[in-house]
Amino acid sequence: MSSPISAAGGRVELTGLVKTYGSTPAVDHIDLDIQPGEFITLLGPSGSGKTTTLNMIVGFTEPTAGRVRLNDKDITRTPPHKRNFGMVFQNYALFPHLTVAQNVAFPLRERKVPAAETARLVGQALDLVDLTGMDHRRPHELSGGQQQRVALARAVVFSPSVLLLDEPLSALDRKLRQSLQREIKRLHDELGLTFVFVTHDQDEAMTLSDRIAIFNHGKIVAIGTPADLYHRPPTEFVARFLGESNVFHRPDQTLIVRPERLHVADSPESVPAGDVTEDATVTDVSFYGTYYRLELSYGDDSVGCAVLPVGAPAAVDPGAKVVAHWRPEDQVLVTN
Amino acid sequence: MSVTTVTARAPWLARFRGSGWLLLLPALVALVVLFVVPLLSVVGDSFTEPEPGLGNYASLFTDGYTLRVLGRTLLVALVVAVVGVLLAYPYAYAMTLSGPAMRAVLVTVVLIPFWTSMLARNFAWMVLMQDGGVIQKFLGLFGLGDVTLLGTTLAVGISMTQVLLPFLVLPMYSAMEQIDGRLVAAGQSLGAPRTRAFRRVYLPLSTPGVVAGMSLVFVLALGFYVTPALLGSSRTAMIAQVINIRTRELLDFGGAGAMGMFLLVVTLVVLGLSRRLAGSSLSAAAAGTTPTRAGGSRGVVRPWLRVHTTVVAVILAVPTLVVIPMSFSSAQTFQFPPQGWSLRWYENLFTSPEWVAAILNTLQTGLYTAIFATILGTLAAFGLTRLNPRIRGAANGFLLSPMIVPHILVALVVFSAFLRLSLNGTLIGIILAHTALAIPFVVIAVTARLQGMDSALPHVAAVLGASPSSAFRRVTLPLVMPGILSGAVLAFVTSLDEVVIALFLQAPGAITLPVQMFNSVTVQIDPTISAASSLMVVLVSVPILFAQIRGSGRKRGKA
Repeated sequence: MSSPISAAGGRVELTGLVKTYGSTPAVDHIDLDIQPGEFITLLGPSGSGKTTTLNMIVGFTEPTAGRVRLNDKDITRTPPHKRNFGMVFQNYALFPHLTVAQNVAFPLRERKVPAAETARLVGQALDLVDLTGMDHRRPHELSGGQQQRVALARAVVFSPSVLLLDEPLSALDRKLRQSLQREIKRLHDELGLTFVFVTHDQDEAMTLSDRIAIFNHGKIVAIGTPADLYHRPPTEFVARFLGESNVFHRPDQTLIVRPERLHVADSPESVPAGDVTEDATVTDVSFYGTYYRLELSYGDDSVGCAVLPVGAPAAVDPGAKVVAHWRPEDQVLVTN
Repeated sequence: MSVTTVTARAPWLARFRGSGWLLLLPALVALVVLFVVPLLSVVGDSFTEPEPGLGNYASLFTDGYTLRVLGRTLLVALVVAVVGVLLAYPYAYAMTLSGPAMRAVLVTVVLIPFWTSMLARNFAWMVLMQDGGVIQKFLGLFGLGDVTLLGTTLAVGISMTQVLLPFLVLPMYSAMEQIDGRLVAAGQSLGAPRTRAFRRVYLPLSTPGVVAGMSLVFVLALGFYVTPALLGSSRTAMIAQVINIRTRELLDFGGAGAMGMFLLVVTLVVLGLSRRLAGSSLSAAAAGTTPTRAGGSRGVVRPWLRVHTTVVAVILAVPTLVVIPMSFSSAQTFQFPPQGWSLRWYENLFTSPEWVAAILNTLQTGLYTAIFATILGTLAAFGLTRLNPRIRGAANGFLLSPMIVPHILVALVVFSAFLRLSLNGTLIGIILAHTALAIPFVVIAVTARLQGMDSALPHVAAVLGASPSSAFRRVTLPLVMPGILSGAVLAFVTSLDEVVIALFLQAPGAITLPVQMFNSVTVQIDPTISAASSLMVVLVSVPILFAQIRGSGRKRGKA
């Protein structure tokens, strides 16, 4: 075995997956077909069932009902150590008594890979995450970002076909998070593995994923590409959870308008013909460098927001009465 | 929700669920057989011997002699606890104020008594307080030369305070460490003068440590045997001495049992109350911010505090400083400071058959105790983690119970049980009893390590391809090993330094070094005890130092 680290991405199929604790379902009939080489994100608020689903994929949690298949093979009852998945954890989970190299070599030793081959693969994996030469450090001598890189190297060194990532960036500060996001994306492109990424951070999900599965109350409430879900949210929950929205409740339907599609005018006269309008009061204006963000409050006590490019003609101050307007094709209708 | 929270329901670990009890079984059986059954039989005796009824208990509170003994014991324990707090509180406070180097020195000084065997320390006080000793000569400078200390309750109290001082300093120090030094400054900024800010902010926050230390010392003092036996006299007897006489000389298990039960009940009540008291104020302290060493506005060490701390440090170190020079004395009597120097007591220690036998017996007892207690305690600690939390609390409490039962009661209980099993006078009997005593230390050390370990790591190992047994061997065991080692060291040291039980179970072929030392002062006057004391310092401190060096090395290897 002298192949480089990489493998064909595996296909993971979840059918009718259920997990109940007592009488409360944590995961409620989930069907999900994860394509080989895909980067899929399980996104949802805490307690929505995304982590339980991940734990059933990896084998920490046994489903109450349903099947988990890997490349058409049923692995529902296979113990985790025989599933051959790579996994990265939120708190890095490096073995504190082992050096960086020993941590990365851990899965290879379990697989009885010969010493020379192990050394080569470990070196290669550390190169891959830019930690060349760190072999003999201990985890506690590394920064959080470096620890997570070691965890990544350890998770891919044995060429698993699927890499599971359980909120791997949430313990890091903003700057590091962004650089590791790029790193993870690059790894995905280079290795060709299937990535299953769990997060509650919508920006992270939008930037990284091929597809996003949005979880709520143990169910997948929407699934699609980030652009799809953003521009055509199927429900109010999705609209509110993914990005910001102006939500207008009409008697038999709900209207959703994204902030960048919403404009404000001083008076009804300056609204272009054909636009939908709504009276609003500006409650706050904040400057973000490239744009202004307006907080709006509507007649029915609902609140929303709009973004104005810097240098836009209308200068608005908090308290101003304005007319919010948008083109009818920019609104999304969802049923209640 | 991270993997950690899933641990309890991982199916591939579920089959180990039932094994929790299996792992606990050996330790539980050992404690029940060595401890619970004999205790219950002593309780039975106290109601039936010599005749059925409450006679033994009634005489506790009606017999004039017994009443005086009980009163004296309670009073001495209380005074020791109070005086101890007055000595220890400022010392512990000074520890929190000091820089790292000074703090290391102060911590070491607190630990010195732990490294110096109990008997050695009491022996040192005996030497200092004897007629014509250093203290009497010192008092003579003030015209108090004819005051006799040895044989008085005062001598017992002084020595006990010194012996128990570390038990006060350490819990108080750890409570004070949790207090954010800036809180006092905050109190001052809110208008309280410095001393009042201290009284209204710092004092209440440090109360949990005071309560914990005081009640522990009170309870330990109640059951003390060695100090009153060596430094007191029959006229100043305390409970433990009376229990000893009734058990070993009068074989009055009923009367001794009733006294033992009295001791146990008072102990449980005091510890229960202190837990409630400390518990309620502890939660208040925990609500405070995280402690910051960096917070600049910690108090300064004032001159009076410096003086006090120095005095307490001297008190803590003095017995050790007496014992070691004494062992090189050439005199036939206990003289301090020695008039001439020789190695004759070391020569005697390593050549005289009875001393050599005692050393070998002690090492043998300590090693077997360490092996048995480490195996049983480690298995039990692993078993505990696999029980559901509610039962775990109860099982843990039971495993730790030998710690709170006064040693004199353990000695009585074991003596009466082993008498029936003819284990008295054998090293096996001593080893078994010491094992029961040492199990809690191993359980605590291993449990602490298990709790400090990220419980997700075995799962992580599983995803990386490790089978459960491989995950245990490659991840869990290496991470817990320091706890197992320090548990083994504690078990060894516990056995090494234990006198009371060994004294009760002694017989010509089964005399341990502490017993030989005890007898060398009480039965015959043999200065070899000073060489033996020095040997004990080495025997106790070497394993502890070894464990600490190993431990700090391991700690550096920890995230």
